[in-house]
Amino acid sequence: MRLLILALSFLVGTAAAESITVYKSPTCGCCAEWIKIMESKGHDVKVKHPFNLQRTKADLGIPKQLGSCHTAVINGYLFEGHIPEQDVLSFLANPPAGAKGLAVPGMPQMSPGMAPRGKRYSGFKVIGFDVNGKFSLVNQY
Amino acid sequence: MGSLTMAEASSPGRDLYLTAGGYGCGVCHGPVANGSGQAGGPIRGSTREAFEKALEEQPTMQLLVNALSRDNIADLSRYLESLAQMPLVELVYTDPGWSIEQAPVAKGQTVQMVVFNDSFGDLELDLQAFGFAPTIITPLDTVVLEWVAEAGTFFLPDNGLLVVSSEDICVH
Repeated sequence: MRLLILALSFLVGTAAAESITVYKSPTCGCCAEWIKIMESKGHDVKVKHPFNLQRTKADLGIPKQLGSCHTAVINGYLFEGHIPEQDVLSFLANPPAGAKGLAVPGMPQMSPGMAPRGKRYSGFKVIGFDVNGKFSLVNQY
Repeated sequence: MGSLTMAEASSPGRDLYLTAGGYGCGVCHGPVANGSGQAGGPIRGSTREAFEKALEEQPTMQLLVNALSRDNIADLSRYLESLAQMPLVELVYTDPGWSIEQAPVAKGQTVQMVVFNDSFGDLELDLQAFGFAPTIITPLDTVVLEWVAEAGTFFLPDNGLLVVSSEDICVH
């Protein structure tokens, strides 16, 4: 019974649905794949196609070194690129003081939305960035 | 002597490379079509034929077909082909060491040198031996230098040594 409760609380904990706004370009296919993954986990995703995506990223405050194709905004935090859902949820569950968000820079082959479905994620880092422009290693695949 | 890439001559092809599709080609292919370990891989020296074939056949590229005019494709192809004339030297700093990848370089040839700071600290590069002002590469940033390969030994931060001989370039 205790195990069951534990299992249930784990499920509830990870299944918290988030409302996500994603800024992307209409020509981006891998962005759409990342969005599908987030939707399949129960999150509500609104997609926006700004006229000037690079300006939108700059206005939102994505450091240029961390740039990827799409930018997601959740609860005022920024999530740049192909970040695994698990890292997004862990961050949102306990955002560090001064944190602005997370990023997976560029377009790693074996990241969510890039890798074939079901394949293990590998070969990239999840970077945290804060209000002072400091970066930190949050996770490594 | 050379110039920092940020001052790299702007051309219609280079500008498009940085902006096409709203995110720029570099996100998938690296800042100077060098790949940078990203999914798109290196496309330096790629021909117009190869580019058009990719736009026709590769799912990621197919989405860009309507975003690029014939002139855009010609400009981008010219830029990519022009990069073939410059051998690539890629230097990566990961705390605490250097690694290098390079194409064959002949002495006196202009080389495009990509320096990536894959660490969380600032990297102070004294590039005077290369004819550049000292520069700081911030964490996870990349600097591209164009430089005429001369034989010699150059010091890099954290006891790194870049040795250029008549045959090759290596890092210690």
